[in-house]
Amino acid sequence: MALNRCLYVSLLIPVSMLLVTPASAADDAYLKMLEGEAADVHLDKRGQLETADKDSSDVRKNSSENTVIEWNGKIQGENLPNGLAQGEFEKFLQNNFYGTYVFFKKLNSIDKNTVYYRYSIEEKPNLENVRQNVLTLLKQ
Amino acid sequence: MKNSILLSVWILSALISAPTMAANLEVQISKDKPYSIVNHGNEMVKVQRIQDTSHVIDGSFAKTSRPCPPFCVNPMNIADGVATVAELEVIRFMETALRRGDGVMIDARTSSWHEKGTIPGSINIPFTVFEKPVDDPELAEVLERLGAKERDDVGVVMRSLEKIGLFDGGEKTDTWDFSDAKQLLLWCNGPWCGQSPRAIRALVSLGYPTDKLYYYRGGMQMWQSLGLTTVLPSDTSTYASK
Repeated sequence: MALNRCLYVSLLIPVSMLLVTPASAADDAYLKMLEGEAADVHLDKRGQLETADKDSSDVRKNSSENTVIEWNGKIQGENLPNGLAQGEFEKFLQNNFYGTYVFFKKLNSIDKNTVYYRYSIEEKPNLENVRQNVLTLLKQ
Repeated sequence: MKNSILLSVWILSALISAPTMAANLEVQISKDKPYSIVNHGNEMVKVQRIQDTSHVIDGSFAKTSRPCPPFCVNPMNIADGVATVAELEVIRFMETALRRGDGVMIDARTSSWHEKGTIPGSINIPFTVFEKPVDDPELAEVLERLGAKERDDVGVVMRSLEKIGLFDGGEKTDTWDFSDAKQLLLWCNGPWCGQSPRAIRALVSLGYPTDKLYYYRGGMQMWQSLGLTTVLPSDTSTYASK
């Protein structure tokens, strides 16, 4: 009886190993191939942004932005150009409305994002709304 | 006379529309959407297409062929009940579920792929994490992060009652309650990539509700082909999985 049990166990172990090994070996091979591919992978840089958890006032590098939105027009009244990326928006405030920019700079990154987001969804963005948003968020 | 009037009207309308045209992008995402603003980690990122109409895709996603198996073409439907989506639905997801906080975009590739660049708004949870044993603490941590709740010992009787519908058990398994689980949009390298399909199948087998799962089949391959913005990942977009 004990001999039989020993025989079963000795047979069961190699059989179960045979059943398990191909799947994990295949997985390993797949992961190895994935990693092999990943080692050489590089994306098209033209539309790539560099982001990091840093202060959003840093103007991010985006080669596509140079070809997209260039604000060469005059500022009419206090209308703002639409379609600016966040970095461009902050640079634009800094260059053209320094007073507003000084207050804007005091906001934390979440509030800065909020101001930018509200600007970005306005069909005809204007400075007055940006100023109001900045001041409201500063008071909170 | 009639022709000269028509010509002057055409010139006048062209002059009037010129400033508006200048404000628009030449290459928009869709007819009424020039670009989109997406939350990516702690930043907001503008997603748009490359504006150079003579640009030809460069980099690894210009490659047409990889050995199959394992890099074989995936079917449109990856699992019953899981919706397959394309770029406009992905952007819509970014603007709705992701912005509201009840959706998560998952770059299901291994971290070595993710590090080279990702789709804005995505966090990296490699497919291998979802394939871990059900009692693995790392898997449990990820599921909790996605809104699932680990259940206390339910008991055979209660579970049976849930299963026959006497108690609300619709989005529950023996171990997990997925009632408040977030909508997940998973993607990987493209139609030839098996990483997000594997993640999805693993989630389905864990009991994640299929109507909360979306598969972006085009993945990075199509995203790049359309010249859509990619980002180098930030710390917050990388799931610390070793």
